[in-house]
This record gives sequence, C-alpha cells and structure tokens, in this order.
Amino acid sequence: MQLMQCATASRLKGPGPMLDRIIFIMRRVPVAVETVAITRHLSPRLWRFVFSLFVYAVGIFGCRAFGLSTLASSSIAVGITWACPIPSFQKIAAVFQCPTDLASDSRVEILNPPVLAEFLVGLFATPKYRTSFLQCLDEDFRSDINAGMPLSRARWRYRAAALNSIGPQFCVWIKRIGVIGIVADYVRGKFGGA
Amino acid sequence: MSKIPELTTAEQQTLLAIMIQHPNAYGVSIRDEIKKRTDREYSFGSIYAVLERLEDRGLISSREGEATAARGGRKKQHFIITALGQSALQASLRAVDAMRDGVEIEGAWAYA
Repeated sequence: MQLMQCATASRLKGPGPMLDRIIFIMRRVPVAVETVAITRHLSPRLWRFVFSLFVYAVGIFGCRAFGLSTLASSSIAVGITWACPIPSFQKIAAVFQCPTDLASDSRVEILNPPVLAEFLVGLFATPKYRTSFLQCLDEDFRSDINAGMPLSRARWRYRAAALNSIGPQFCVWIKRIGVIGIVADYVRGKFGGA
Repeated sequence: MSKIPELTTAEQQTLLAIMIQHPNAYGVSIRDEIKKRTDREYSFGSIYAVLERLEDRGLISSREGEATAARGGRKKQHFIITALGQSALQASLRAVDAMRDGVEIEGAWAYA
C-alpha cells in the first residue's frame, strides 16, 4: 500500500524539479520570442531570419558564459547560425514556430499550382484564351483544395488535367503552323512524287 | 443567304451548354454542364479547341467578365451564342430529329 502511494506520489511529482524547470523555461522560450518579434504573422523567410538571430544571440551569450573571448564567441555563434538553413535545424525551428505560421506556410503553397504543368499549358494554348484556360485549371485546383483534398493529390490532378488538355491544343497548334504541310512536302521530296 | 455551317456532336453540346448557362457560360461551367447532362467529361483543352473553332466560324462571341476571388482575382471569359450559331444549332438538331423520325432504337434488331 505504502509502495503504491510512493509510486503515485513520484508520478505526480514528475521526473524531477530540474527537468521541470528546463521544460518550464523551454515552454516559455517560444512565447518570449513570439512576444518580442511578433512572430504570429511573420512570413516564413522572416521567421527564419528571426530564428537565426535568436540562435546567434544564444550562441554568443553561451560562449561568453563559458569564458571565451568575444572573437571566439562570435565565430562560434556565426558558425551555429550558419547551420540554420540545414533541414534538421529547420525541424528544430518548426518546434518553436507557432501553428498559425505553419498553417500560413501551407496556404502559401496552396496558391501555387505546379509551375511546369502551367508552363506547358501556356505554351500550347491559343494566346486569346491562354489566361482563361489557365484560370479554369486553377479554379479546378482550388475547388479540389477547398473540398479537403490533400495538396499533393490536388497537384497530381492538376498535372493530369494539364497533360490531358495539351493534346487537343497541340493538334490546333500543329494545324496553325502547318506542320502537316511541311511533313507532306518533306515526304514528297524524299520519296518523289508529282 | 449564307450557308449554315454543320456541327459535330461536341460543337452541338458546347453550344447547348452555352445556351443553358447564358449569360454566365465560361470554361468550367460549360465543362460541368456537359458532364452533368451527358456524363461525358471533356478536358479543358478539348473545350477550348471547340470554342476557338466556333468563334472563328462566328457561331459564338466572347467577352471578358468580372474578376472573382475564386479565380485568383483574374477575369473570366464569357461566351454567348450568336444568331448564326442559333441557326446552325437549330438546323443541326433538326437534321438529327429528321433522321430519328420513325426509328425505334430500343428493342430494335441489330447485328452483332
């Protein structure tokens, strides 16, 4: 009975006061950064810059605390900050980044359908209908996203629709520039004829 | 009197969709209307190829519409049928009706 009470007490107390303190500080860090830098509506690129500054400050103060010279501290801090664009470092940054920012990141991506598919469609579409044609594909893409379809699937659907649309437009393009006549002339020239 | 142009099935369907969606017929609405009524899904490439052909022959005309947020703030291109387009559609459908007259397709004896 006593054993059970001890176990319950230790579970309630948690792993230890030191760890609790670290967790408490770690939880406050993003709040502090958010409050100071007003990160709630920052763009991802600006967020990365603010995070790099934060890393730089932590690095330089940490090295100074260990008694290193200013030059050595700044060198190390610059080195650590330089690593910020590395993907694994970005994952750490994402932990601190508030959910609204992550959501805004995905929103930025949603607005952009696949560029290559868009380019191919634009290449073969008639200049008169090019904008309208691309916007029809874009409207389908947006309605897919609004219907709750995953972004990757919506993009694949856009690519498929774009490729499917290129065929008829390509035929029109061939007729317009007279490729059939050129091929016929070439065949006639090559194999003889009237 | 100018000669009334002949229409293919896709052209007939597109003209009918434009008439049904009047005055808000544009690429997506035309495609959706054809799909809803005939269960046949055309790509935008096919739709625009047909629209281009029809406009070149003077059977439809287009105008730029208003920009909407759903289309990224860009303008739609609306299509309307012309008088020549209406005559062509009427003549084409009349020809189909004339061919159908007196023919019972369901239950008819067929080869293969």
